[in-house]
Amino acid sequence: MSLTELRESLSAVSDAVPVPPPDVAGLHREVRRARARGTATWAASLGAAAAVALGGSALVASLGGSGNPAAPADSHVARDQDAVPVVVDGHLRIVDGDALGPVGPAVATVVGSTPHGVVVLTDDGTLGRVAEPSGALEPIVSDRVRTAYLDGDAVVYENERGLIRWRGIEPSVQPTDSAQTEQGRLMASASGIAVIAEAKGLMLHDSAGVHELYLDPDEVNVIRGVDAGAGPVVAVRTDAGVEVFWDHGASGAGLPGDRIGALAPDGHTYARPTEDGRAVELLDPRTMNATPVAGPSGQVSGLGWSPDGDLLVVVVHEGTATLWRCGPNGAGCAGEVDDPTGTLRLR
Amino acid sequence: MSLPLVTVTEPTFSDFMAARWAPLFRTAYLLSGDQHEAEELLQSALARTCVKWSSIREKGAADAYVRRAMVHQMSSRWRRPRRELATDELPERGHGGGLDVRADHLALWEEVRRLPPRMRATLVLRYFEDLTVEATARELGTSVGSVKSQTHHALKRLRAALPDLELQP
Repeated sequence: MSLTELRESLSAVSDAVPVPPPDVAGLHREVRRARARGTATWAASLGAAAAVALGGSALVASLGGSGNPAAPADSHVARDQDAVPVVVDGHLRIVDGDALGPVGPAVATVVGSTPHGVVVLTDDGTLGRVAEPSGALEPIVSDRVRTAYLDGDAVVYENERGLIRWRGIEPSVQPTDSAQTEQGRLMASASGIAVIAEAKGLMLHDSAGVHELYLDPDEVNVIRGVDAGAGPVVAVRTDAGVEVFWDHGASGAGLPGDRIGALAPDGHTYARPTEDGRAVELLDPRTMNATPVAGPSGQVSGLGWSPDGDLLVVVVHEGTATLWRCGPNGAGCAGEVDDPTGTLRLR
Repeated sequence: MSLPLVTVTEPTFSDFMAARWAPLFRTAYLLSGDQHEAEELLQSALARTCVKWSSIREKGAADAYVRRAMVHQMSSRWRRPRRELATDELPERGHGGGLDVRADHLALWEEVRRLPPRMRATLVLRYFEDLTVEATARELGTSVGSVKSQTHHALKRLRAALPDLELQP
């Protein structure tokens, strides 16, 4: 059967359905109600099927996982919910309150915060953790690492040979789970899922199996970044805009515009700069409702979310970078710290 | 109904409704998959259209306005938890048995009815209303990429449900 026959089936059904006469009295009642409601807004009309939440945060099935090893109870550095790791002039710094902490080791990327320290990746591919604000880098694995993401307090990484591995960040815990992908690249991992760019497409691996995150090849040339949040919800930033997927990739929404952005860990909110790039808005991908964020102003150079769900914004104004921290709903923003070098970034 | 004292070239809302009730009801039925829901959906969308009638410049595009109103209203329902649960309850097979259509059309329609509402709406706009991908995106208030994605997944589900059918894009 071809699409022509799909058309014919829909047409045949529509022809066969009995059409009732208009209920004029009922319509008048509806009109009165509609007038009473005032001017309705029709611009935003994006709907979505129900998101299917995964139970628990089971390890990605396709990675051959056997469970998350228990975090060691004697961890010597607890995660400070207010502390935000940043990179300033190529070095790890910890923003605690309104102070920029001492200069830490040279890092390429901040992977994230865990109760056992800040996980970072260096230019030479060392994946390590920094347990104290000014402390040394302790390698977590002996592999050279290309990319890494936090999944709770475990880390999922891809080594230089393309092997994707999962392990707790505590150095005494040996890696037990791994998967070799065929020319695949690890793009994101969080909340028990991994997103891997494979030859057949961008694939979401979760406890229910493997699902395609369909990107239109006519529209998308470059994937600029992938965020994963609870749900699981995945936001894929491309040169054509942002595609947000839920329902195991079967449902989604598109946000036009080639801008930076960050999906909240809860998967419900996507933060991005406004069109002029000088302020921030929060979008609900399911409704396209946008909420402006009052406070940060200047060229928005970075967006992120703290582990406890606060919105983090970096703006550059007259050469100085300022880190702003706002509540999860974008309210109550306050400038935390200024970096006169203008190089401060979140990752 | 009293006649206007001056000749007008634009149709009144009553003219529009008299002419377009039946075809719009058919669209509402395909969108909702249910007769009663279709009637409610269309009635509500027409009421909103009536309120906005004077501000609709292109009366020829009023069909699209009503369709968009119906899609918008359905999307609000999908977002409500009650409806989200309801979408998981698959329509019972044989519901469409009262329709006088060929068995293969009916089999395909039953699978279309079982799709998530947004996917179904995408198929209806593209393959029943014959809208372009761009026009479908405008009516759904989403991106072209999303429409293509929804279409892709909808056809994939139909193929999986009806393996004997060879739906080619």
